[in-house]
Amino acid sequence: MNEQHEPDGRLEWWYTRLLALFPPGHRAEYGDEMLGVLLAGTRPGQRLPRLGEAADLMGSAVWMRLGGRGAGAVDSRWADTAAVYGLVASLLLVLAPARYVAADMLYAARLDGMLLRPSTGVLVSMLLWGLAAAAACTRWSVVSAGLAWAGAAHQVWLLAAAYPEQPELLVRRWWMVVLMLSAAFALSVRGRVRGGSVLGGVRTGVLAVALTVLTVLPAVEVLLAETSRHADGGYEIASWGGYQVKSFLGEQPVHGALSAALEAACVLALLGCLIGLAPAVRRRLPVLGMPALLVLVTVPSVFEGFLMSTVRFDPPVLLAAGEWAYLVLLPLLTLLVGVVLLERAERHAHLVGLGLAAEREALLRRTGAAS
Amino acid sequence: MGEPAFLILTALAAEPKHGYAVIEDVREISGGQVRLHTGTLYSVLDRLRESGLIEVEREEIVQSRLRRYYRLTGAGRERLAVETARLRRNADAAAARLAVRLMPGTGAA
Repeated sequence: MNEQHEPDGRLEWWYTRLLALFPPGHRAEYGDEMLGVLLAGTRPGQRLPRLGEAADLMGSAVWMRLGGRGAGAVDSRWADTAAVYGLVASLLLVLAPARYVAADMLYAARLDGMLLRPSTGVLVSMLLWGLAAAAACTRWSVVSAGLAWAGAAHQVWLLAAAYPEQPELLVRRWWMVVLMLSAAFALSVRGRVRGGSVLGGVRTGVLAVALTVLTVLPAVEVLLAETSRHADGGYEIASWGGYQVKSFLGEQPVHGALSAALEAACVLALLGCLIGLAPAVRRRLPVLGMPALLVLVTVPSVFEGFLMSTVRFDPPVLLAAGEWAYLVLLPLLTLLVGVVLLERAERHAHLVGLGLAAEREALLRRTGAAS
Repeated sequence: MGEPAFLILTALAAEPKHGYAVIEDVREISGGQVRLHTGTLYSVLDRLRESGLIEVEREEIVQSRLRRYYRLTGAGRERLAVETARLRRNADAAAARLAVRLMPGTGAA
C-alpha cells in the first residue's frame, strides 16, 4: 500500500474533478473514502490519474447518472426508514377506516336491523391501500408504489369533486392526503429493502396482531354491548365492563373496559416495535410522520373559524390563498426542517465520534512510544 | 453474481477490510488476473450493502480521510457459500467433460 509518500496536490485535484462526476448521493456517501483509496494506490511521483482508473471512474459515474445499480442515490438509512414508514402508513390507511366501517355496520345491524353499505369511495380507498400494503411486504415495490399513488390520487379526486359544495371536508381530511402522499412517496423510494425485512419477523408479527386487534375492537365492543331504546329515539348503550355511553347511531363508538385495556396494550406493543428498530431508522420515522401529524393536530384549531362559518353559507365560503398556503406549506416545511435538523445533528455526532477516536488513537501511540 | 462481487465477498470472508485492502486482496486471490478499479469497487460495495450482504464494521480517520472497514453479514456469508457451491459444480462439470474428451479411444483430439 503506497501510503508512505505524500500524493501530488495536482493528482488529488484531478481525482476530485473525476469524483465530481458521480451523483451527489454516491459522492456524499463514498466520495472521501474513494479519494483516500485512489491516492493510496498512486505511485511516487505520479501527477495524473492512470488512464484505466480515469476511464473506470468516468464509466461508473455515467452508469450511475443513468440510473444504474449501485448509484447510492438514496441513503440506506432513509431507504430503510421509508420502507418501514410506507408499510406502516399503508396498514394504517386501510385499517383505520376498516375499524369504523365494521363497527358502524354492526352498530346499525344490532340497533335497527339495518344493513349499512359503506360508501364506494371508502371501499375503493381501503382496497387500494390494502393491496399496496400487501405488495410492500413482497419484492413488488413498483406495484406497491403504483397502488399507493393510485390511492392518494383517488382521495385527492374525491375531495376535489366535493370541494365546491363541501370545502370543510377537504380541510378535515387534509391530514389523510398528507399521510397518503407521504406513504406513496416512501413506497417509491429507490432501494431493494422491504418494510418487513427492516422490521424483522417478530416485530412485523406483533405489528400486524396489534393493528388487527385495534381494528376489530370496536366491532367486538358493539357485539358485547347491551342496548336499550329510549322514548326520545336515543339508545342507552351498556358496554361490556361497565362503561355507559349514551349514543345515537354512528355518533360515538362504543368504548368499554375491553377497549380501554387492549387499546393501551396494543399502542404499547406498537411503540415497542418501533423503539426496537435500529437507531437511525427510529430517529427518521418521526421526521416522515410529523407532517401528517402536525396537520392533524393544528388544522382543527387554526381553521376553527372557517369550519364553523363555511357550512352556514350557501354557496359555502371557499379557502383563501393564505389558507391554501398553510395547508400546502406546513407539511412541506415540516419535512424539510426535520430532515435538515436530523442530518445536521447526526453529522455533528459522527464527527465528534471520529474526533474522539482519533484522539484516543493518538494517545495510545504516544503512550506506546514513551514506553 | 458477477465476478467482482464474488471476489469482494471472498476478500471480506476472513476479516473486515477497508477499500484499498479489498483491491489488494482481490488481486492476490485472482492471481493478479483481476485488478479492481476504485469506481467499480465502490459501485459493487454499495450494491452489496444495499442487498444486506456486507455492512460497515467501523470507521476511522487516516491521513485526514475517512476509512471504512467492511465485513460480511450473515446473509453475505450464506450467499458466498451458495455461490461457491454453484461455481464448484460448474467447474466439476467442466473438468468431467474435459476428462472424457481426453480419454484414449473416445475419438478425442
